[in-house]
Order: sequence, then C-alpha cells, then structure tokens
Amino acid sequence: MDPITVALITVGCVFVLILLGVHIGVALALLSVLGIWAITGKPFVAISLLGTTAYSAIMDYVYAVIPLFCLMGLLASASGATRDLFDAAQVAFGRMRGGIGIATVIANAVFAAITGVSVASAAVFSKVAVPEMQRLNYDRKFSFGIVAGSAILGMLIPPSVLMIVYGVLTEQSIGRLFIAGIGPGLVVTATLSLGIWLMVVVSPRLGGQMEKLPPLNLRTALKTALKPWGVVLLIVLVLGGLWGGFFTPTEAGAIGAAGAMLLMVINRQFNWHNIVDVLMEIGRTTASIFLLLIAAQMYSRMLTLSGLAAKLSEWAAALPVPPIMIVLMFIVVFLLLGMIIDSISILLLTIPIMYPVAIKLGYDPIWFGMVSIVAIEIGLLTPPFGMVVFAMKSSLGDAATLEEIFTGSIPFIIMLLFALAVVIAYPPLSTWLPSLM
Amino acid sequence: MNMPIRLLHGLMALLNIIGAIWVVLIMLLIAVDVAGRAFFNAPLFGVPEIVKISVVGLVWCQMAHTLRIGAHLRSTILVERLPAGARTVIEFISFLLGAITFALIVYSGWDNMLESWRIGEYEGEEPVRVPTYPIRSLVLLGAALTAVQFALMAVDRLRARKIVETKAPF
Repeated sequence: MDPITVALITVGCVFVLILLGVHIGVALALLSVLGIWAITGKPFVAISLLGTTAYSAIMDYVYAVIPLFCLMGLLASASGATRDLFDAAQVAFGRMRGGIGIATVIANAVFAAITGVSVASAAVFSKVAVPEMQRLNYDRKFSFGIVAGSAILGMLIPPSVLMIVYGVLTEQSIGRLFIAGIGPGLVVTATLSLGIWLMVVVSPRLGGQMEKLPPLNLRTALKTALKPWGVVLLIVLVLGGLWGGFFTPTEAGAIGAAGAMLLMVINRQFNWHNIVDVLMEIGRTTASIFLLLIAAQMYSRMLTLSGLAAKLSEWAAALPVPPIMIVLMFIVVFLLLGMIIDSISILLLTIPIMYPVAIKLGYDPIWFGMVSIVAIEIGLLTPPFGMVVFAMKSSLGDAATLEEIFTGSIPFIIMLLFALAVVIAYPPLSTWLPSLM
Repeated sequence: MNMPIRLLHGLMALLNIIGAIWVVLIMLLIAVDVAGRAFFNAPLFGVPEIVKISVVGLVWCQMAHTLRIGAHLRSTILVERLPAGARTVIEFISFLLGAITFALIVYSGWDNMLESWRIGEYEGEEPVRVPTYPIRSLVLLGAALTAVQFALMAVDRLRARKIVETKAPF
C-alpha cells in the first residue's frame, strides 16, 4: 500500500481509538507501530522502535524541564502563593467596580508565571475567588466566567507545559518559546481585564455591591499588597535568568523549584503533610506527560517515514487560497478538538502535521506556536466538554451547574477570540522579545 | 484483594515516591551546580549526563502508579454515554491494548538491556561515566508493571469493579 494512504488510515484510526476511550499514549504508540510495519513491511523494525523510543527518545537534558517546572508550581502552590497573590491583587484593584474580577485575572496571570498548567488554576481560584465575589453579590455566572476565562492564562504565560511540548515537537528552543509567551500572555491578561471592566460599566448589576467592603486601612493594605514579594522575586529571577541567557531552561526550572521550596520554609508551610502532597502530585503530571511525549515521537516518526507531512505541505502551498486561510482552518481544528481531548494531546496529534505546512507557507515557527497555544487553550472553555469548566465544576461541587459555568464563559470566549486575533495580526508581539535574546 | 496484587501495588507506589524524590535530588544537584558556577566559578562535573539519564529513570518509576490512580490521559466522553454492556466490552479491549503495548516495550527492550549489562554501557566521557544499564532495567521494570496494571484493570472491568478515574490536569 502507498505510504501516504497508510499514514492517513493510521491518523484516522488514532482518532477513532481515542474517541473509544483508549489511553491516548497507547493509541498513538500502538498505531504508529502498525503504521510503520505496514510502510516498511518489517514487523521487527516497528516493534524495536517501541523499545528505543521508550528509552533513548526521552534521554535528553532538556526534558528535565518538565518535572522541574511541575515541582516549582506544586511547591509554590503549597507555600500559599495563590491566596497571597489574590489578596494583594484585591487590595490593588478591589475598590473599582468589577475590581475583584480584575484582581482574579491579575492574580492568575502572576500565578501562571510559576505554574505550567491551566486546570490547576481553575480549581484553586474557584475556591479562593468565587466565594469572595459571591459575598459581594457579583452575578453568579459572571463570577464563574471570570475564573474560567482567567484560568487559561496558566498555559499562556511561561513556564507552560504546552510551550515545552511544542518546542520538543518542532525542535525550537524552549527558552525562546518561554520568552515569546510573555507578549501574548500580557495581551490576553489586558483583554480580559478591560473586558471585565467594560461589562461592569455597561451593566453595573454584574459587579456586585461595593458597600460591603470594609474601609481601607493603609497599613494592613500595604502589608497585604507586599506579601507575595517572594513569588514576584522568583518570577523575575527565573524569567530574567532565561532571557539574559544565564540559565538553560532546565536550570531555570531547578532554581525556580529550589526558590519555591525556600518560600515554603519562609511561609512556614514546610510540613510533612504538604511535602507528601507535593511528592504524590509530581508523578501524576510528569508520567502522564512523558507517556504522551514518548508516544508522540513514534507517531511523528511514522508520519515522517510516510512522507505525509511533506506531501501535505506541498499541497497546501499550491492551494489557490491566501495562506492565512489555512492557519484559520487549523484554528478551527484546534477549537473542535478542544471539545473532546486535553490540550497536550491536541498539540501532539496536530503539530507534526500542521507545523511543516505552516513553515512551508513562510510563517515564523515561534509565532505559529503562540497562535496554536492560544487557540488550543480557548478550546478548553468551549462546550460541550471544556476541561477547565469541568475542573471548576468538580471544585465548586453543587454550588454551580455546568450550564451556568458554560454560559458564564461565553463573553470570555469572545474576548479570548479577540485576543487571538490580535496575536495573529501582530506577529512582533510573539517574536520581538525572543529576537533580543 | 489477594496478596500478590497488593504487593505489586505497593511496589508501584514505592517506585512512584522514589521517582518523586529523584526529581527533588535533581533539583538540588542543578541548583548546587548553578550556585557553584555563579559564586565560586566551580561548576560540578557530569551534571548534564546525570540529569539526562535520570529523566528516563524517574519517569518510568512513576509510569505504573500513574496509571493505577487513573491519571494517564484518555477521553471518556463517548464511553460514559454508552450502555453498560458496550462500555464493558470497549474498555476491556482498550485496557488489553494498553497491556499489549507495554508488554511489547519490555519485549523489544529486553535484548538491549542484557547487552548493556554485558558490556557495562555508560553515558558521557572520562572522567564522568554514568552507567546506563540500571536505567535500562528500570525502564523495563516500569513498563512491565504498567502492562500488569493494564491487565488488572481489564480483569476488573470484566468483574465490573470500579476503575479509578481522574480528570486531566491540563
């Protein structure tokens, strides 16, 4: 059989198996073996690929960034950084109409700079910010939308697991991708904050009652605002060190984790209970990401071997449509996939096929990465199966229904699509900072 | 639950914790290396080699336990909406596919592992030589345990026991 037909059938079968609930890593690995077998006609070549990929494909210094940044995020959360950041942002913005909403966005943005995953932010802020907004009589759905919308900052602002995976798949520098993420991350933060402010100006009912806030005491306010100094220092150290070329991404992860551990000690959270929690959590994220990475490397070898990606990019380049249409089509695919699977799996399934096409069309690899990541993250909010929404539901319990969270998210999805359009229209937002490195 | 299964699950949990402590040790090693370079102009030798092979080791330590607590990623949107009988059959087959995949990893890595023990394979140049044969064995142990865990889940599915599920953290 023609290798390209084999590859197309394999890709189709991967999607069928994933829909049927086969573990995503298993579906990718097993079908890549079958695909390579069908292309080469040699079963042993295909099977031996399993053994070598499981061992040598992940034996790379740069892959240590994943467990190290996971550790940093977990330690920083355990140090109580989330609560402190939210309190500080509340002091700064809480007096405005809709201020707690803006404070949630800002606290999420800062917290995102020490954590690499979105859904964790959604769960934490559901517990911290939602009760506070409800106490001030914010509209319920509005408060859910704020938390859901701002949670996706977790993966947009570096460090981000998605940027690491994108870097691995496309052989781009992870350090540069991290720095590139700052621009789009700030655009999304600004869009969400302005959007919340506008919504409250247009319809003041959403923003609750300011009268319930206690009078401001300058001393305590200052104390609260300065409490998260450690976290801010840590972010400056990690991102600054990366940007200045003083650290490799792996070193930045290790230094960040060590700093976060120090914060735990300073905040008196360095106890047995917290340490056991952190240790149990590392495996959950690290091993699940690595299984996907191993499987994805086999899948991308299969695709390369078949020549599908090369063929597809030639075909796309010859299409009589403007190249941007193809990128927009990719975005539609990301949003659709976001309705069924998690963000990392989307990246693994699509990038080996889409990346060569985007490069062939002359797009910048880093810009394309940022566009993909923002689009995939928006998919986490869209019904029927947005992951962030489900994480919030499980964290809020009976206090909210899925429908309420989804309807609350709709205005935020529109804001995020606007931010995505900005990121697409102004490539220097993504490419200028890394070009200075 | 009977004794051998409990022992296996205990081994998975133990390896998981070892993997987590391994991450912390790597963190300390790199932090000391960076501090040594920055303040004393004296970096450690062999850190990249150690980190490199550690990644492989610690990941495979955590693989089986992660499956057991239901944290490997899958999409259950469709199966959740199927009638119970169809769901049992589909999940039984999908867990079986998992067991086969990981068993194949053990099978295909076996000869390389034996060979690496025989020749005393290592990574890096003199004076820093990090032996890799223990890591190769650890990979196969992790893969074997994961295959066993998949098989246990397939059996549980037939006996209609509850399978642990967690949502993706991404």
